[in-house]
Amino acid sequence: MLFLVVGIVGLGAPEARAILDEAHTFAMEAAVPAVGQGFTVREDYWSGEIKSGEPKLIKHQLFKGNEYWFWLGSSYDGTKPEVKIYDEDGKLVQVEATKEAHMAAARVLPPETGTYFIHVVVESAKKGEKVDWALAYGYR
Amino acid sequence: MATKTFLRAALILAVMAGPVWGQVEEVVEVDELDISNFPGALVEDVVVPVPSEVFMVLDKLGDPDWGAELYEGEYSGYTDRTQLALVFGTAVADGFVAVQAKDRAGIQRLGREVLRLGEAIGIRDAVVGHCNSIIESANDEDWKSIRRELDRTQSTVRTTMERMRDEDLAQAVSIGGWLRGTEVITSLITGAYSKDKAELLSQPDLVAYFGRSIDDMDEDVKGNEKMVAVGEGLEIIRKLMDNGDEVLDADEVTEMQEVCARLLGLVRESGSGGGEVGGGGA
Repeated sequence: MLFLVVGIVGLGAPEARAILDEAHTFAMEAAVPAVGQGFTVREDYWSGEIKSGEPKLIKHQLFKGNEYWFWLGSSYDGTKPEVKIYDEDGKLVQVEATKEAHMAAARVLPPETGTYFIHVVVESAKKGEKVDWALAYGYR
Repeated sequence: MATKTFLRAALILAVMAGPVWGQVEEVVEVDELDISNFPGALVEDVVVPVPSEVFMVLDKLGDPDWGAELYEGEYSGYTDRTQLALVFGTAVADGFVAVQAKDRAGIQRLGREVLRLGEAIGIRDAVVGHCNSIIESANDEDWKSIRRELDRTQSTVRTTMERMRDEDLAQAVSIGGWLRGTEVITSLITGAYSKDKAELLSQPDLVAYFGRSIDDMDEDVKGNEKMVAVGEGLEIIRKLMDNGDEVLDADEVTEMQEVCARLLGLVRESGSGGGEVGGGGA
């Protein structure tokens, strides 16, 4: 589900009580240094649930001449997100990447204007466990 | 991961340091992804770039005359919700143009117009805060805040429409905004063509996505004569963009500009509209 708080998930499990937008909060925390460097953060973002260890791929239009940061967050206990950026031929194009508990980021200077693929994966302690995720981006 | 091929090349570089030969190992990691055989899910949701993402690149490539691209017409006389949603998108894009032109009075007027359009669509409460922020930030000439608020406005409107189960109209807002942004971009490129600028129009996947979105709309929205015309025009634009790896030449950019301008004319026309849409000289 795009843009939206998706709702309360898994009321039975304490660690799963988070609303999915908490993942966005972590993504925004990862964005703080870039905002200080003049990046404009987009309001719209991708979010949802993902099985631990199972990757998702997001298509997105980027413009040569801009610099982009993508920030991936997950709020569940012990999650380790990772984000990578590929061009249409599957070549890794990011020039910088960071990752830590609950958040990851990747920076790209698109070599061409066109469609790129953002590869996201979130690892948690239990493989296959459903966890939240949110991916935001900024540009300058 | 099964889909990824890690080609790890160890480059052993012999480096002479003074009279001694030493060895420095530099590991070069090449990470490739086989997109056609990707085992995970492809996320279907699309985040549409805001016009300022392209406008900023145009600023880096030259000194565009943003003032010449301002829209000073009215946003009134609309009652049809599909048309209102399309026009709402164009109005937000007009706001981004006004920011580039640093047109303080124009932005304040737009803030009021966006509120009026929001009222007409029935989402006044959702946009009033954004409109006030736009007007206040224009007073302070805080262009960055205005850009952020315009993005928020568009996002809030779409979210509100989705909550009201008006997903099709939410999509119409995105399409209207993209159309107006692209009309401005093509107009500026037509005035001072370069390949670097024309490359910014390489967005066939995005336009194809808009086309699919229209196909998936409810009959009353996609059958709306404005939306029919927009769908036809987008297909012309997609075909222009989808020319392999070639950058559009000056004639193609001009043709795209004419299609966008004609579509915008129809979208903004109060009363009945629609009709045939074609590229100039196509």
